[in-house]
Amino acid sequence: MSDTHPIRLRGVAKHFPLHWRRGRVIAVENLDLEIRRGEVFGLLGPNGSGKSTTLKMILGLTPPTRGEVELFGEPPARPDSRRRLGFLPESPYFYRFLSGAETLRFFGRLCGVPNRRLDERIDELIALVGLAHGRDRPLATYSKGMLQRIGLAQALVHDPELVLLDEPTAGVDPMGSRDIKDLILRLKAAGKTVVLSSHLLEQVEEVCDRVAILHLGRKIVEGPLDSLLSSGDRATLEVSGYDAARTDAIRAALASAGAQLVAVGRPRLTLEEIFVREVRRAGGDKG
Amino acid sequence: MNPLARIAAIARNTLLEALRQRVLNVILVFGLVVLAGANLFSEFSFDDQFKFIKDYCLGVMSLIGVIMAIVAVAQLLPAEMEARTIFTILSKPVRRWEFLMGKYLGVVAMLLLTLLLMTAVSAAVLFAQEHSLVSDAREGLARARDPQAIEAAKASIAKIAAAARDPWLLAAVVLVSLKVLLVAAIALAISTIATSMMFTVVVTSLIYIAGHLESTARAVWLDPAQPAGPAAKVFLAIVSILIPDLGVFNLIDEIVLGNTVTIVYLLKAMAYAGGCLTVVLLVACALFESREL
Repeated sequence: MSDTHPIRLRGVAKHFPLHWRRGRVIAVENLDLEIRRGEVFGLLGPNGSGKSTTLKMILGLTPPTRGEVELFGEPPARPDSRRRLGFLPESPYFYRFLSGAETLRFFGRLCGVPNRRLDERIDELIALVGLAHGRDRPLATYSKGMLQRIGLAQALVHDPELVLLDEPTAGVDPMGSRDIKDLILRLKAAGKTVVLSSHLLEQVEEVCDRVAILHLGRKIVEGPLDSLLSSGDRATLEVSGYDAARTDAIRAALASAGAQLVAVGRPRLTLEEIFVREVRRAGGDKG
Repeated sequence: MNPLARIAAIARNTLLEALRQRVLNVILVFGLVVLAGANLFSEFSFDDQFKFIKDYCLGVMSLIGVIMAIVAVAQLLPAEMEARTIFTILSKPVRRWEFLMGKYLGVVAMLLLTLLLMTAVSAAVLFAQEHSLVSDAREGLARARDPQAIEAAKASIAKIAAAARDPWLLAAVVLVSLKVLLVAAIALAISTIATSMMFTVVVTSLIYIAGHLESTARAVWLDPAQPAGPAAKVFLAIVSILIPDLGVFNLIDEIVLGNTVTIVYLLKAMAYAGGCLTVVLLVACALFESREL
């Protein structure tokens, strides 16, 4: 069962008691969640919805007040269950005096990557996240985007099957954001399971297979993104050689096929697409 | 991969981080400057001068060592929590006790380096003093004509060398080091339940003071002739049982005065430190295991 569902939460609740018996804060309540192997799952919700607490319970950093959390079929407090997991915390900070390569070496050692493999792995990851220019610089000199990239690299240092990303593009410029989204899609193509916690909905929409929305600690929506976003029997046709004067003919043709033309518009590029295209053309896309 | 490799990786980082902390460097430099000034007090006779320098240096080493232990350990966990590096580390296959021991051993390495440096400066001060006094004595020897004066000058040189190179001073340094490491372990245990750095500093300092009064508390608790009330007896019993007796490591005066301290006592003190360290570190790990992060 753990092979098909790396993460499983059953009836999970997390309450934080207030001092002096003034009651308790309900961070998560009655949460059931099953993450399937190989999918990109989006955990969405506004600030204070319980996303971070849920991630902390999955990581074994905090125990649930009630219910069961399983990571690869085991309680996450057991280090063995975390061996197959990589985690990128929100706005990651690392030891500022270490360089990018030293940071990866440190986390590689913690994950048990053999020394003879570590040098090679560091080179691969530095190239993967595009940090060749920051490899030997101390992290104190890194920009926020570079910290996020090294954060991603450390999460992948032991080539985990499951990757948990907490707000991976928060504070990152559009180029960095694009690269991170591409990386998530590459991880999925490599058969990894990715859990993405975010409130940047556009980003989630681009990469996630399924999502759950949390609000005030409770799950209010869960399902495949395609079915959640599709609006009934409506469809978009994109045509070339369109002539506005012949809209009526098109409407009639559609009517004869039993369909109705609802709206006519011109497809637009997004601002992000233009930004990424132009910066890449100018040849300065790292940082 | 074994836990030792993970602990070593965390300890190494903690040591590098501690060596870069300005506050610790300032305390250390202050300590070294104070130690280097020990021979400015030269109005005593040579015997008293050596006693003073030894007493002064060991006292400064003990005080600076304890302050650095408390300050360095008190900020370990708050700094990790604030920077959230603790979450990244504990999301790896690292057990909590491995993380805590790695942090502790990193601080221990820093403290031992500090004590080594202070020992070297103290030795240099003693050496300089010995050199200066022996030079004076040699001049006296060169001037001496009758055999009695020559013998007296030779004896004086031998006495100076013996006073300056007392091997028991190293025993005193070992005891000071054990005390410092024990105080660091106590601070670590307190910091696992503390919500601020200040709490750890204040509580550890109080325990440090109580630790020096522990033998008195135990004597009053166990002596039926002592006129203490039941509440006071219970309080003294708690102090005696829960707080390590730091007086065990206070042999500076005995060693400086040249009183006999046996090897057996030294071994017993080391065994006591080992026992206390084991218990305190086990308590720290157990407390940290159940802490909400």
